[in-house]
Amino acid sequence: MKTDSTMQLPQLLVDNISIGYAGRPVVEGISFHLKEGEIACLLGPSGCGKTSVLRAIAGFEPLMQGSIVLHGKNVSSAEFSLPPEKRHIGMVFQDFALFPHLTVAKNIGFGLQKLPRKQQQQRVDELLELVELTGAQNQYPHQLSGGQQQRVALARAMAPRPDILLLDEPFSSMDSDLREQLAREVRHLLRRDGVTAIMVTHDQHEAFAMADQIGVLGQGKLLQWGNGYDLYHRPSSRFVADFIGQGVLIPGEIIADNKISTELGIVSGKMTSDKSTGQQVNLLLRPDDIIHDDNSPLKAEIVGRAFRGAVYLYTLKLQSGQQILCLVQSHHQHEVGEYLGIRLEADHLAVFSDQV
Amino acid sequence: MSFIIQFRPYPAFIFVLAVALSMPVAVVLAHVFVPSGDIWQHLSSTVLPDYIRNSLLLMFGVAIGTLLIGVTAAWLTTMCQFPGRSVFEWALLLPMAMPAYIIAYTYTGMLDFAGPLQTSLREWFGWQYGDYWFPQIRSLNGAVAMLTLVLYPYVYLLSRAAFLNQSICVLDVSRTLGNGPWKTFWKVALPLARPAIIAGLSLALMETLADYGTVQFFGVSTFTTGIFRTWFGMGSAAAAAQLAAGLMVFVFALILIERYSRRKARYHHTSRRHQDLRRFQLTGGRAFLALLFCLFILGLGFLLPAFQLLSWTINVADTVIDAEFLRLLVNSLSLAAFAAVLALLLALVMAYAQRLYPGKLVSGAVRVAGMGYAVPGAVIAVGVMIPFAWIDNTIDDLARSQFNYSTGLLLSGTLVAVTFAYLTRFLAVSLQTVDSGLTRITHSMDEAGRSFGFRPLQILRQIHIPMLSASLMTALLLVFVDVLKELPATLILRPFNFNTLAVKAYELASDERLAEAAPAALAIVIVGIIPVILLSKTITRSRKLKLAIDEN
Repeated sequence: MKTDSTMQLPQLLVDNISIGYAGRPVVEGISFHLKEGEIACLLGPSGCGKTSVLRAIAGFEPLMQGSIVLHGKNVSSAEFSLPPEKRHIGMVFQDFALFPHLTVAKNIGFGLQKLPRKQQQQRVDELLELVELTGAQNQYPHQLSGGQQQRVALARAMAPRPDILLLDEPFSSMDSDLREQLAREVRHLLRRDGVTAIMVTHDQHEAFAMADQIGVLGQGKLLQWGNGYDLYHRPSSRFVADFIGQGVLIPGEIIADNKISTELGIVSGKMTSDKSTGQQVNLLLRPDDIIHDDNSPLKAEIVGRAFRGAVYLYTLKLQSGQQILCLVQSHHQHEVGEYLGIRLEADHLAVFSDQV
Repeated sequence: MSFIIQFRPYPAFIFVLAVALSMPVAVVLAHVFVPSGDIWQHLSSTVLPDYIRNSLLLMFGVAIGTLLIGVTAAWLTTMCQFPGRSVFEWALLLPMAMPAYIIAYTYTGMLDFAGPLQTSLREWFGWQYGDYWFPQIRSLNGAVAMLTLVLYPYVYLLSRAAFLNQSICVLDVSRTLGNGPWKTFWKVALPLARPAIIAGLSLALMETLADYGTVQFFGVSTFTTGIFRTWFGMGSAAAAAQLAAGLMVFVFALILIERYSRRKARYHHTSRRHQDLRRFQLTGGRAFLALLFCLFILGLGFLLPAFQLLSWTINVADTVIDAEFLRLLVNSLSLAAFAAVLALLLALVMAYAQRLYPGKLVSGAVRVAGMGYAVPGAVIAVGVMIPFAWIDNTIDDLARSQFNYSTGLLLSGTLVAVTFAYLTRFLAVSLQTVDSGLTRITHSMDEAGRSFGFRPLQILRQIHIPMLSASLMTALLLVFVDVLKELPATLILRPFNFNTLAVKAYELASDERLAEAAPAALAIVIVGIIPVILLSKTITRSRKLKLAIDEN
């Protein structure tokens, strides 16, 4: 017989939840769970309901249906919602929401007021060191840079050792070239403390840099739950295929198991979904699935190119007029109007039926 | 380095204006050093301690009252959801339309011995005079109550803006860190709004100090009534000016507090992004209490007195509303309109000077010119009267000695003096409005216009005027209403036999002809509603506007 200690209970269990305003659901039937110490990310375009899910976990949004179990305790259901202050969570907000009237140290210590003074001080010092702000404890938020403010917000949320840390677009006010780096730094910090965390973002690079597991949301539904590699190479829907990375869909017909006939010839690889032979489908081609090969008999006209540093991203036109994307190392220079020899090299064949 | 200072007529004009407009305050302050002999001795040994004591008590009481009412009302209408909330949001500003002296005499009419309340109490219980105790409305406490009822909107307005601007996330953070709603209010929301609340409070207290009608009517001796008594009763301009200077000490203290709070408020800005407000849903008894509170305040501060004024007006309409009343109306409205237009023109001239000649000198001059708003009307009146009388006398003496002809009073006791006083006091209002409109027109907009080949005049016509028109209209209306309500300066400076609505209402009320004063008072209140509407529009829009600005 298994005992509880061998069976790892999820730290967070979100079970079939729906959230809505005025009876109109914005989020429907979402389920996922997080193990202790796991870092997850809800990814989706703005308006997809990802922030609502986060706020429901925090206790700011009531549920229409479903339930949320946090650290073994039922905190939200359609009938009941534990107030946020009783959930033992930490939250980092988009705008950091630092208390402007309190110093850095007081901000960090804000959630520790029930502890004896000495322990408060100790924990604040610990966090100041963790986020590398020792020495800034007596400054006020407006005296700090954006990055420093963000670290204070993070430290403040982590200080009471919450059961789960919720991060709502924490990097969105940063410069775009800083975001990935910050995401990696935050991941490192959370890992060191073994914090279970869930972040919401619309930026896939942030998600890839930060999370073990990523959930893609579109129009209020959880479309796919998996790691970055799966989302990129094995998207379960056209929406995910479009949203993550670049690529085009070209029409084709399934002629055998794991074989598709397309304008580019017959492509073989592992199909990511079950489709029957003879079916007309659309095949997802990522730019890195198309390899530049001068010896290939297959040629396509270059209609556009974008310099990306190490590589060029070429837009190519096939005979039918269908356009595809191709990454080529940038020391191969080709002009618009030239024909480029290409060959297909795809491991995974992500195919979708015509309509969906 | 060049020592030749180029003379530029436009900025020079601004300096002249600034000097002229700051003259009344300068004159008053200068009188601290003018000996007024026995009268000052007499004042300081007899009534001055009373003035100070009463002014302080009045301020203390009004501070407590406006804080309690203003902050509570702001929190309820901003952060809570209860039936009628969206109506109260703007309706709670309505008491601003009610000048303190008008609400004071209205309540006197309702609550005095012969008023409807006491009369019915006597009828119901068969009491006689002296059988029962009833609070004396005409007292210091009564004045505190009256001023509180009409001045709390300042605190309400500014704390509401502060609550609205607080990032909801800041409150949410406090919740996630283990604080309940009440603790969050005390530990986060209130400390964050404190600078704004104090700024609102200092505005309310400036109005308290400036009040003349209420305290005079209730027989409470303060600095303003003292200025009048010294001026008219003892005929000492110098002593009146010295009292005015004493009053200015209090005003300056308030200005400093207000400035300091506003500066601090900048750092208390929490966020650049805002989430939609999610108000606490109040239910059952709590919702009822919230509704009752707002209704009570609104009822006492506006509905009840307005209703009383209306019913008096209906009663006396036949006898009071006649040709003379119409002349009164025309007098008041045209004087107010004239002052408003003049103030607008000056404000435009100054605002553009600041735009065309950026630099400390011009902006300093403009700031000096806009200082008068904090200065009580009685002080300005004294400050205008003294130099104008001196000019008149000098010219008269000169004319008499040279041409053997008396010019009489050219300036003092004319509409010139009254208008000048209005300008000193209310220029700041139009200046602020025009300025905020003008700063929205960025220099790059001008440059964009120029890049399309527009000439400066075309830019003015096609870019500035359309963008400014709303601000200009607001500036006109605000000054118009302020002038219409202004009592003490008009009372001192108006030409002989020239009456305005405010003066007439005050005079009739002073003669205990309360009902007859009602039509004039009601007219003032109705016009006073205009800025309330403007304000309520801005506060409902402010959040959207803020969102729009933040996105840039």
